[in-house]
Amino acid sequence: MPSYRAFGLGIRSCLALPELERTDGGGDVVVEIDESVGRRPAVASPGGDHVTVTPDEAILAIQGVGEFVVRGGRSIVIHPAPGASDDLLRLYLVGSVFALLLYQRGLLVLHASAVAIGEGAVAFLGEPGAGKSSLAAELHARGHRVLSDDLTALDVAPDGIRVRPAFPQLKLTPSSWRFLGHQAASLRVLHADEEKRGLPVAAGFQRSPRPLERLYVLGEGDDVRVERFGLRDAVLELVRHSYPSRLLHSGGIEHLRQCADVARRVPVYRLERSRDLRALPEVGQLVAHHAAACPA
Amino acid sequence: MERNRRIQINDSVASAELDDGVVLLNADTGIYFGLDEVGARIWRLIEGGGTEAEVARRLLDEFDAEPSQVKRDLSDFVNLLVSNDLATVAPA
Repeated sequence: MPSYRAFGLGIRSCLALPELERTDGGGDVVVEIDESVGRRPAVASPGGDHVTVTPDEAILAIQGVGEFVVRGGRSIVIHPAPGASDDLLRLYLVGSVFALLLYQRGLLVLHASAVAIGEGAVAFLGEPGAGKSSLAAELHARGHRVLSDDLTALDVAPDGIRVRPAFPQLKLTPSSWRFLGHQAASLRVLHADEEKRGLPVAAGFQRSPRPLERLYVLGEGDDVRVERFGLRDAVLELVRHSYPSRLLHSGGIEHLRQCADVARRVPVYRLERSRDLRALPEVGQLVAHHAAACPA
Repeated sequence: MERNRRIQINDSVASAELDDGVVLLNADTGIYFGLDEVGARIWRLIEGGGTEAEVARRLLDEFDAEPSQVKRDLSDFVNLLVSNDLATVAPA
């Protein structure tokens, strides 16, 4: 079984994970595939996708894909639906399934992309399609190293809040990769029905954790505007854009406290800008300057 | 005589205190609520235990406002807590 490194963990996986970097050892997490009939978890799914989350076990059931059972932050068992391709399973595995695993390990998992700026890191939060990956890609093109895309795992420790390096890939829409000057041939096809493609960023990947210094929630506006959230709104933004609440499961008091802890220690801003890709260089430049200045 | 109510915060409610308010979570429903500074102050008074009349008295000590207005606003606030399963009331 090959071993990979992602989010500071050694992951042995039955399913090949080409977007992750290979490593020697590493048995923090094991990913297995169980195709035997009758071994699937007894989940009542009356026609629809669903998630169950208990403190030690999470089950993600997606129609036409399969069921993913995550236990103790150490084990992922995939029960593929008939005909589900490896590509399809991988899309969910390195997304929501990894998010649940990292949550079980006590990390604060944001729906965000993060890049290194100066000695620290900043992360962009937002709904799907808000432009997190495009902005990370723009900063990458400006020479900033990428820490994560779509999932950002934070170690919230008394001595600091650090972003764990995820894996070296940015998931971009066709309009974004074309705007940034990439050729389709140099991008990874993630799944036949998925128009987004994976941009490998091995050369510009930040492989050691970085202290988190700023959080930006992406919004739309006619002009570029950065405004700091009050603490209460910052906490609610973090809750909204983190796991498991993003999957409509409350993380309880521990998750709420973690979000409040991060909001007290790291400034959270609303970053408004035009969604027109032509504004991207200006926004990238502004973020790079803003992140390097003193918090306001 | 005015009716008075004893207010009890539900066990399933978690809160995070902040400089500019408080964030509440109803763990049963998974719904989050944000209260501003005034809402947070009322929340803390309710947490301290007591009846609606006692909370109103404390608020009148702290805020320069019409007693009838304070009572009305407090009553609305308590009704909102109850309708969102954050608190229950019983006749005092």
